[in-house]
Amino acid sequence: MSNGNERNLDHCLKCSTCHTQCPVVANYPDFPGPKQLGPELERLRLAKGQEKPLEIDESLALCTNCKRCDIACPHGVKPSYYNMKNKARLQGQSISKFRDWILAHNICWGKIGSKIPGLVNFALKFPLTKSVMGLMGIANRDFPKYLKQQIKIRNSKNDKKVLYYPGCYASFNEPEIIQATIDILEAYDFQVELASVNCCGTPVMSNGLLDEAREMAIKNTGVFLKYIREGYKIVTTCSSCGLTLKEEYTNIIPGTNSAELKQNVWDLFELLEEEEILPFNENKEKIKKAYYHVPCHLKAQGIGVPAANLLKKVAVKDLIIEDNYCCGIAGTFGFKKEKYPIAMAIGDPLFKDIKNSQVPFVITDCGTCKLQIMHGTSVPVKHPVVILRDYLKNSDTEKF
Amino acid sequence: MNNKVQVVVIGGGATGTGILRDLALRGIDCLLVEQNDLATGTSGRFHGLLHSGARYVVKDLHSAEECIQENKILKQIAPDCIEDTGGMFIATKNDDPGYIDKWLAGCAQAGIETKEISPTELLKEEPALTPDVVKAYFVPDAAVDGFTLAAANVLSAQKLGAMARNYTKVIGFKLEKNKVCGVYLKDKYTGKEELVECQYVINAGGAWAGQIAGLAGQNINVNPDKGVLVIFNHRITNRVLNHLRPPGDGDIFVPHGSVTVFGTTSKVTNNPDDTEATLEEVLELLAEGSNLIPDLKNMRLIRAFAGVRPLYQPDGGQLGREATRDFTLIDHSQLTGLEGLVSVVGGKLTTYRLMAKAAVDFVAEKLGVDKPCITHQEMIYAPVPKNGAKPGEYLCQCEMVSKKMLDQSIEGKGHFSLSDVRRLTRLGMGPCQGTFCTFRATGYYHQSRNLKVTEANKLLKDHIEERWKGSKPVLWGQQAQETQLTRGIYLGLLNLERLESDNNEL
Repeated sequence: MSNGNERNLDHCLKCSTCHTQCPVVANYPDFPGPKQLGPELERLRLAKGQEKPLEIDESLALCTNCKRCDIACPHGVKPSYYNMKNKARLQGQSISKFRDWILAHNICWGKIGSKIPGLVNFALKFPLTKSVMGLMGIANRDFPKYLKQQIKIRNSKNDKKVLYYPGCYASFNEPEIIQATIDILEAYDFQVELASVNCCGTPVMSNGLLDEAREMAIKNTGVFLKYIREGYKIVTTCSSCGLTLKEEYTNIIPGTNSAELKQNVWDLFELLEEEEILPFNENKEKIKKAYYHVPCHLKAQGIGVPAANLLKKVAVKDLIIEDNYCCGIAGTFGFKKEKYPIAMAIGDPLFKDIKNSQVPFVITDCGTCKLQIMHGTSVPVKHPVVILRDYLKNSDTEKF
Repeated sequence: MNNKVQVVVIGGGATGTGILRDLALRGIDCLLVEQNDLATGTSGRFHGLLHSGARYVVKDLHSAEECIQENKILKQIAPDCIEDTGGMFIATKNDDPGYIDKWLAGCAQAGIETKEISPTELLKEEPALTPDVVKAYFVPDAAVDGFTLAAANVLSAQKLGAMARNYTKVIGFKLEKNKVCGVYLKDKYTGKEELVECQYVINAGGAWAGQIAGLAGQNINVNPDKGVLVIFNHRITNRVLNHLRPPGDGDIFVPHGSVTVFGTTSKVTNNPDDTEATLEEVLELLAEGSNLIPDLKNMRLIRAFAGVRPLYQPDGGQLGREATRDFTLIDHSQLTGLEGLVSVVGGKLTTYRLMAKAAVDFVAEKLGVDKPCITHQEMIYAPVPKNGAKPGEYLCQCEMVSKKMLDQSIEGKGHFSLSDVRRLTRLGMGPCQGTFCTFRATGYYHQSRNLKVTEANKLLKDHIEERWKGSKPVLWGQQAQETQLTRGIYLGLLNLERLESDNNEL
């Protein structure tokens, strides 16, 4: 056995703290949970010489890769590391393999969909499309609409340089996030460049296509490092993309390159907080009330809740910040027919909490959390950057 | 029970159980008695290596030849008890290159197949090894589970009508006209004593053989020799790892199930019950092992234990590493004129079947039975096979022990301890050392076997205490933290010290 993450299993005391934090365990008692699937079974997998998966490994398909177990562990074991690695070894049925492949490659469909959004969105609503997707094992739920929007970018030269990596969701489904980010960064004198869109690999990895994710990671890291060495900071507004660039790459392509990338990736709000650049006029009228849902992958970044902190400080009078719940969608997980009921059960306490709080809207950084919350509550959901940009536009009129 | 059998076998280790099976296969009516549980002596307290014989080729060619012969047979007849991991011998730049040629010649002479592999290739397959490897060879070593082997032998014998009683101690022999004609037994649970009459007694007491023979006034020179071993939390190498040098301390690593067993030491002791590993011995082992696995001291240790080798020297010859690993059949009538008793001493687990054959050949002839030994042709099977279960049915998650396995492991047993269950299932042998499975298994048996609360509490207490014993010499790093968690659960949450329980001097 080699070092690093592999050796982590020696640190597991079986204390079960991870078990108490797993949203799947809480809603599906037959799921063995992170402790057993991770460090416990890994010892037995080593004993089998990695030749073939254990029978119980089939249940790895139910791991949502939310990473709550990783941050729960008092000894630094990362059960999700083993889960991702071993998920990739599962055989599975060909139909669900095909379905998973389709879902994993949302970038391909995004590229097409955002070129001809009208046609694709219509087709996605069409009953026949829905039943075909049902046959493929895709849950009968609304898909995010594809949108096309011309992005305005000034491209002015400045010492403070940012390469903004918007990720698939913002690029294909909510370009407004991209525009808002650029507006804010440019208003405060950043030179912004938009990274040419390639999937970061999150959906590919969580659907068990580890080799492909590794290739993507190598390619993307190469592009990012070129910018970093020219003095750019890499900025993300998607919690999952951010986590993948910061953490997952160091797991799947360990070495100095991924370590260097990790040091230079910033969540937009993490950067704004760090640079303390926003001049706020506190007298302006604030938004009365909102609910901020902390995405699991933001939690896993270990940077706190910078967007919520900022909004609470300047823009929202009564902001409920809640990090207790997982929404259940876990990227593509909630789009799978057989997992849909679990995804909804996991999200249920969150949905209830939101409904009980009687808020006009919910704020969250993650695109798929947004889809799930809207699906579960019918309450509108907005990205914090859009809220902030709109708020600044009204208060700091000079800059915008 | 029937108080008369043809042959009584004393000792429930590999040799004794092998003898029982051999007797039963030849149609001889027989009873095995064991003072504790099966394989609780040396057969359960060794590195779990099924020798290819390569370790002995230079000094003890005869042992080596026996090992390779038995290695091949056991892989055939006992696949449930053996994991054919393969083995490797590695020489580092600090080792005597002259020894390698002698060793290769010895292997060739003993008929042990060796295959050289380049150090670069080997390091790719076994990344934990020292980069200082200069020569490496594969040999047909394997891992063997002594507990399962003994139980499988007994099960096979019982199917043919043989009897076996554990927790039954021999307290004396019935002698008539200088002939052994029965044994006095004491049941350790009930304290009941009884006489079983027989025509012949085979003493296969291993390290205790001297004490047993002493009850019949016989003096045999068995030298108990203590060997300390440690268990690591995970598999360090995929194959058995041996140091290619003259046999010494700390030069065998055996991947065993989910763990690695590493040993051993060699120290003469006068007490076969001396099975405590000391901190000093553990540290010596780790220092030695670091020559082969540089990162060894950073790896999690979960346990240390000791076993006692039953070395035998007829005339008080060499001791320790220099003593032969050959076995000897002692016909007491030749020695002192006492008829009806034969002792089988020395040897090693790998050659247990051969020892059994020799002993039974001898006794069969005395009894006028002319059936030949067929133990090399008949398969044996584990009494508790590993079986799949639904998630949630595993009561020991470290080692995947299911409720069904707990049921199978106590089938037909009146009394049992969780340690008895553990030996057949690996319950509690993982990194938490019983912290989470002990209370689960106790609860399960309490319900399914209708145990009294005090009986169930005893199961709990005994097992936790037994597990602690083995953790003591390795209480640092992760295992020290683990033990604190165990203390928190059992002393804090469950108030173990004040639990009312049955008390039994086991």
